[in-house]
Amino acid sequence: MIKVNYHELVWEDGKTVEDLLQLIKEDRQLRLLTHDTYTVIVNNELILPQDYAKTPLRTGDEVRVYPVMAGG
Amino acid sequence: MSIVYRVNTTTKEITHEELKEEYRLLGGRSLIARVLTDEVNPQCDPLGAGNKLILCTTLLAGTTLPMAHRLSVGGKSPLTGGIKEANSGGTAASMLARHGIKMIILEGLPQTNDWHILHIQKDGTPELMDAVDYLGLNNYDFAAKMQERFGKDVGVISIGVAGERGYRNSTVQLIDASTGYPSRAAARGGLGALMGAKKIKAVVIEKAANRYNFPYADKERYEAVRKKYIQRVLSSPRTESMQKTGTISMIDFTSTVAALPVRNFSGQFFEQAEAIKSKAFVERAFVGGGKNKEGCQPGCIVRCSNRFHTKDGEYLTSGLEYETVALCGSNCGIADLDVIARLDRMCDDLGVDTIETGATIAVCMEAGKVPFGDGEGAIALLQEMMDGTEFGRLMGQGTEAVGKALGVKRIPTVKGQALPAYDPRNIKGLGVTYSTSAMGADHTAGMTLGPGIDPSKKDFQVEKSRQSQMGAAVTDSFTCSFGWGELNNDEILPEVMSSLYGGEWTFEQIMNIGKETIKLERAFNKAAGFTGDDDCLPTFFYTEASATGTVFDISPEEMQEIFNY
Ligand code: SF4
Repeated sequence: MIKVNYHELVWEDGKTVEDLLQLIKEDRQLRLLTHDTYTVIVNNELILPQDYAKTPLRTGDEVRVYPVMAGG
Repeated sequence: MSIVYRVNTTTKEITHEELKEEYRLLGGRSLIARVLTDEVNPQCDPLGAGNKLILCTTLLAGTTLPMAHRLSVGGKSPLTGGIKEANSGGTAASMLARHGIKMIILEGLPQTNDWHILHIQKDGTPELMDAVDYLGLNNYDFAAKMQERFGKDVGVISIGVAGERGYRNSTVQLIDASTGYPSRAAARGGLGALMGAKKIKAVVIEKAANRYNFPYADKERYEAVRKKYIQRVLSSPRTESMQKTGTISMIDFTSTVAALPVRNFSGQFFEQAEAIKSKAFVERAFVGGGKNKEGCQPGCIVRCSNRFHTKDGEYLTSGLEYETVALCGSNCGIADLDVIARLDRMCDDLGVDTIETGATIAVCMEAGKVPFGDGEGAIALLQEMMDGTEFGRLMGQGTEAVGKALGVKRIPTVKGQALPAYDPRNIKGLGVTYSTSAMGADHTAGMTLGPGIDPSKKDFQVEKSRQSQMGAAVTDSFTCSFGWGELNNDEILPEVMSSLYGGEWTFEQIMNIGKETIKLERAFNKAAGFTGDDDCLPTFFYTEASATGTVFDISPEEMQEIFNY
């Protein structure tokens, strides 16, 4: 189990940030909100896009994913 | 695009001027900042003879670029007492552009109780029509009467009874291109009251008999960049999501990080968020014949708007937006989209800002007038504003006035204007924008989410907000912000400007328009009496932790750094 935006998500240890973003892309509802552009924070550390595939996520990790946003 | 009409509401004289040469490369918000600086004493009474109401189009108006026809409305704000520009889609800006009209200035103050409609006739000639038969009508009935009189394709810029009564949360409403109803609003800062003070019920624009031709500096070059821009917008993943749910999908995100305002900005998660998220919205929106993918202005290719029908199939409202669902919904503890849509309709009809009104209702709920979550109670409060009861008229003075009158400690306003739908404890850059913008708390003055910055931390937020505020001042001078992402780059924007206005524009030159605008706006506010002490969030955001444990921790002194450029 990891936390994504403060909410629990069942997770297979070792899968990476890239895998998480892929999951978000495939999930219709999550995909709508993220517009394919993210800021990703894992345990309070900013992860750069080039490190998404190299950053594994493990049980207990706290991830935050932010879209670029506009809302009128 | 060079016609300026100046209406003296004291003498009823209308003069035709050519746009001054020094205003030629300005539009929308940047033009309003310049004209107010040049013509309005910042210390004037916002509802007095010294203030002016300015209606103008953008720098791209009159061209065939999609989403270019926003109408900017400006003046000294009756709500904040500072400078104000509020803009909206709808049909009016393109109707004005077809006549070649860049700006209308309403000035002076009527000495009698006669109300007028400014009527732009088919040949572009303006006249003042007696409005006596239309006084007391709200926007939906008024627009229907204008369509009956002048035909379905008439452009209408009107105020409802809220503007007539001088409510400081009142809007200027415009007809939506898809539905034909007056559901688009230049909403913030009480500019409806300023139009009401001039006793102008509406500006009504007939379709131009002869269409104005934009004097492109290089038409071929323009067509090439236009094509490129359109391709980019149509292939952007953002466009797809905007078409499905409009801005409402933002709830899916803000609700997860406690940035969605809940029960008067309590900072808590909204337990019933699922009921207002995009999935619930899409399911509900199609019931009764509702639709998405609607364009609010002619020729829009993003089409983020929607129409919402009652379950019985009757049109109820259009352009239901994130801000409205958040402020009139979760911020009041309400999770019923049907109730929120009814509140939206009532606001548009009466002509009041849904953000300010939602925040005001939540403050009433905090004071115990009706419980949080009581949808019918919220509707009854709004009905008081419509009926003009004593309390309803107090509500019309905005969130701060109501909070003070009811003895509420937690009043979510900056410079007298209610906070929009992003809790600044969890998106801190927006807290900086809310605090320091000359407009008062306004999300459109500088959105700060972007790659590389943790929104829940204070680091880099001041710099980010500075950059975004300058960018927003440019956007508001050019186009609708939802096409801006694809326009705002080195390849497209300078090319657009060069092909329209001649010369070789650089990106920096264009961004400079934003910088200069912000300087003028800030100088106006300073002369109006604002100081650094006004650039601050209410204390409770600094002292009460949100559900994620955050407080707003960027000090007023740190935020003042934003002006060091
Ligand atoms: S993108 Fe949305 S707000 Fe902008 S012009 Fe189109 S419908 Fe209107």
